[in-house]
Amino acid sequence: MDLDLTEEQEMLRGTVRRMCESLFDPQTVRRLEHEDDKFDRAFWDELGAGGICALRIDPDHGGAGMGALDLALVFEEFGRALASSPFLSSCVLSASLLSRIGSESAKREWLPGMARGEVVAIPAWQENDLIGDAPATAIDPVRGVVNGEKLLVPFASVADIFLVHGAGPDGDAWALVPADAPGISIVAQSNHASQPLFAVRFDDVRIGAAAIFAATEVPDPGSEAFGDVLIAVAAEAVGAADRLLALTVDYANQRKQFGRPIANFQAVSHPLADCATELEGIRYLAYQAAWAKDGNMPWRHLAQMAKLQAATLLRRLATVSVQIHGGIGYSIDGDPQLFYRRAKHHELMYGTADDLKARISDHIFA
Amino acid sequence: MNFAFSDEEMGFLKDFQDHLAQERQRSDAAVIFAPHRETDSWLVDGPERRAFMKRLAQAGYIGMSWARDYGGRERPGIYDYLLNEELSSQGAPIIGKGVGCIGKTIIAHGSDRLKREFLPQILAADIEFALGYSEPGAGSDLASLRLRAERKGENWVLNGQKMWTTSAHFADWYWVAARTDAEAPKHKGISVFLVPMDHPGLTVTEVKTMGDHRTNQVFFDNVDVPGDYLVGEENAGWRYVCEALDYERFALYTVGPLLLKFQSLVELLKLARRGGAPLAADPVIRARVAELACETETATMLQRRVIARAIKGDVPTVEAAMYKLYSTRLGRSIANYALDCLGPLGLLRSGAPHAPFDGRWEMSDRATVVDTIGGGSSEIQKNIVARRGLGLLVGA
Ligand SMILES: Cc1cc2nc3c(=O)[nH]c(=O)nc-3n(C[C@H](O)[C@H](O)[C@H](O)COP(=O)(O)OP(=O)(O)OC[C@H]3O[C@@H](n4cnc5c(N)ncnc54)[C@H](O)[C@@H]3O)c2cc1C
Repeated sequence: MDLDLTEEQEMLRGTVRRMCESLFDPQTVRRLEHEDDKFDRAFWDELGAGGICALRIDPDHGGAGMGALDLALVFEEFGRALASSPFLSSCVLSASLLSRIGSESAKREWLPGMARGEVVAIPAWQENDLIGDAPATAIDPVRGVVNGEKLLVPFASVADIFLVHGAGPDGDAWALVPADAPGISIVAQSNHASQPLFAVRFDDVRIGAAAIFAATEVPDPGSEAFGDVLIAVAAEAVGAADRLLALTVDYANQRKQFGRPIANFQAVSHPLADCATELEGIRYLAYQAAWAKDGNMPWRHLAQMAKLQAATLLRRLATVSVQIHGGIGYSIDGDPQLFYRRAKHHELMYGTADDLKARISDHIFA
Repeated sequence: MNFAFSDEEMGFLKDFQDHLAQERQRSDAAVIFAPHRETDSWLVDGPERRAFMKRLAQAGYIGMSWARDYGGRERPGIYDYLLNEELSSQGAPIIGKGVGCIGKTIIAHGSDRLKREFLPQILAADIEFALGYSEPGAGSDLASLRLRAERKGENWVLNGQKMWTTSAHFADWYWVAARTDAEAPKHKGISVFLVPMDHPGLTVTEVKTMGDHRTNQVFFDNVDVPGDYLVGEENAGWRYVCEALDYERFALYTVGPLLLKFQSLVELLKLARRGGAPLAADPVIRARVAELACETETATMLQRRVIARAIKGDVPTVEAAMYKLYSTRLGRSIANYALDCLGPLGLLRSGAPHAPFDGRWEMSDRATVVDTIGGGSSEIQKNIVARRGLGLLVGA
């Protein structure tokens, strides 16, 4: 047993870290929060040109066929820089869905472009099932028509195609909808972490029967296609936590009150030591889930645990960090608020704590 | 032991509630009663809210506990509390620092001239104050503040910077603590001044916060202050600052907003569904809500201890620290839990299509962050409980 990365993995990490450092500095993070698309084209192009987008796509369809552990390393770097891009939606979830549910011709048509970062494919599945009686999305596989409204759709404004989940007469289906099809309207949904999230309406959007596939994969954290997402999001939270921990340690060492660095107060240092301890365990929890997936060992509950633990830790650390920064932590000028808001985003998207806990205990008691 | 208020107190409260019910009929009521503004719903920061305070003054509700000599009604402090509890429960501006710490400090220590100038204006709700204590280098360690005040003839000249001054962008007067003796030990060289907020030597710049709540930095460039506007004695400022906090016990420690937050959570859980069933039917959620209900009731008890002690005329330092520590953490837990229950849609901000409850919980989770930081952080409250309450031998 060893817990080291291979030389190739170290190189991958170094490459992505350099990309993030040169193209996704803190000013970029702040600038994007105020833009409509919240999309950094230069960074995305670099991920495509550098072969990163191809990572998890199979070599038969233009991909690099690399492992989940490689994916985790990439997302750890994204998390560290708070770098956002359509990677998770397009190169991870859509790629994984399409590989599993799509026809061979659909895969040939779309996956190579996705692997180069030239096609942005965005899955759209969330609806308002919380309050009100919005009708569920309907997919008519015979006429090839989609009707409905999807919410919290990431990067919808720069999408080339949508993978839309909906109900058909013979069960759920996924529809591959070109973003320029008539009948699509997109409205921004401003949100907690200032992420690019949109409401996308499909009014009688005609796509033809060939673009509709039976939903053998459901859009939830128990499904096969979500496995990579859980691992990626867990690793992203780990990366963000790592960076936040470092900047909070710096602040606690620099900030003086009562004639000494506040790091001198154990009320400040101990919560950080707690978080650091958990972080190291959770980092390897994410790696282990990826390793198990790569080795075809049981991985699902490990990935669920990793996502649950990583998102929870990031939120706790962000709360600690804001507190340690005092007023600066609350102000927009301070960096902790960027992490604090993203931490809640991480907790609630791609499997809430309650959902993941239920699945983990189902596994335990199975 | 008696957990209830007296008939007289309840009668007074009823009359006040009637006054507010009238106010709620007005066309500008939505600006005045705004609980969704969360942590800054108490500010008198617009013309509608100023006019509201003036109507409170005309109805005799301002200065309840002041001596008659100064235009007050000489009622016990509990009446100040009842008013602010009701106001804060309805998200209206509260009777603030003018009547509380500033007015009372002027009554206790101010010159006749300051009394003549300020007390009538405070009673009439004509002026608003900003409180200038914190600085970039002096937060928890307030007594290390460095804003310099130097004597020049009859005047004082102030130079330096204040940080986090809420209200500085709309207040009329600035209640400022400055260093008048740089050689003395840190607690013994501070004095308090009153400076008109529109003084040309003051520059107020906005500090944005993640709670959408504006606070400010204030820069002092040769701000000359006539000697008359030094409050009380030179270098006695630290004592006034500490005393002033004690005057606020009745006014500041309301529990209404917390109760309201818990009630709103309960409403949310009745209305929102998961997998077709109301959230309130989920046993996991019910168990957590039961915990939050117990904690809310416990917080109420801690708040009653503050008030009960203050009624006796004591200074409830430890009780207040316990209540602030416990209630602010609970408020944040409730906001956080509401988001957890709402799931991903809970992330949507006010105005976004499909934002549940128009994003109020999304906002609440950001806004309540300040509660455990401002006005003495949770760590400082724990130090007070540890040192003053338990007699633990802790430093700083
Ligand atoms: C929105 C907002 C509005 C405000 N409004 C006003 C206002 O109107 N007027 C005004 O004067 N001030 C105001 N404040 C300032 C507020 O009171 C200070 O932010 C607060 O006292 C904390 O100071 P600081 O921000 O400098 O943090 P610091 O004092 O630097 O504290 C940083 C961290 O160190 C911890 N720490 C410090 N000392 C100790 C110790 N001895 N033991 C253990 N831990 C310790 C703190 O708990 C905190 O976690 C406001 C602040 C905010 C954010």
